[in-house]
Amino acid sequence: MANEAQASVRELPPLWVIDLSGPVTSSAEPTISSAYRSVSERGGRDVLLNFSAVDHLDSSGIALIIGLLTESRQRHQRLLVTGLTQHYQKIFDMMGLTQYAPVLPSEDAAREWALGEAAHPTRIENA
Amino acid sequence: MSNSEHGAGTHAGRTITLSIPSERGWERSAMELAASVARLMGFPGERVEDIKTAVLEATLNAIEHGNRNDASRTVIVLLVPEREALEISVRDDSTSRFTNVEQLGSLPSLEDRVAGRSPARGWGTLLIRSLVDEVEFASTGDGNIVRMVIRLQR
Repeated sequence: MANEAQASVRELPPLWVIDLSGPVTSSAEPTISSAYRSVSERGGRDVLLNFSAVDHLDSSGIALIIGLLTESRQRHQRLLVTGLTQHYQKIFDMMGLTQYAPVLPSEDAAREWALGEAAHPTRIENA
Repeated sequence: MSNSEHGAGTHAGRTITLSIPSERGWERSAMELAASVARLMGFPGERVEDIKTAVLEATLNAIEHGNRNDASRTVIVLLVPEREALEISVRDDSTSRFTNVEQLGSLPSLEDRVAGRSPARGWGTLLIRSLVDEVEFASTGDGNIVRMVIRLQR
């Protein structure tokens, strides 16, 4: 069926933002992985996944995010999340994902978080 | 007309049936139908979201694990709005029974998964169990059934 996920990359120093849209499911894997690789190739350290245009996320999409966390840990990157609805934020909390990828209320908050972390780093599970 | 006038009382006891091919993408129609019925019954928005996710996961499980993505095979979704609760059953036509992991839900270690020491997948059953008030997994000669109950008042 149609309605595929899309991912686009933009720079918002010190962050790299991956804007996601559509359904985040297993079929989104090539699209999201390619966006993530493109950020890594450009040396991005703090990567913000923006879910504000995502219409739904299933368990295979969550598995995909866990895969990105694995990769970010191997590459010494930090993964941040914004734009989650209250429902998906609850699911991220329930699964313990927020321990590995801080969920921030906005891009500005994510940017401030990354700037603050650069000045006064604290340990997060994927850093 | 208010939700209560429009909702559970009016629709109580009726069964809504959806039959879909076992092909990825169709799970969204099950999700949207369940959301529509839940809204008519007067479930609050956050509970509608819980129902959508639980139905999505149960239907995906039936498509992928039960019917092995065979589009010629059918997944049936039954929705029964009662006065106090919505009962939803998702049935595949598989001859292979639920495994213990599917029935009980694996208890994934997120640390192992993030560290790449175990597969990242397998969260669906856990999500269903966390989001609905009751869930039963049953295997019969006609297939596997996930029966979920979501109460209007928790």
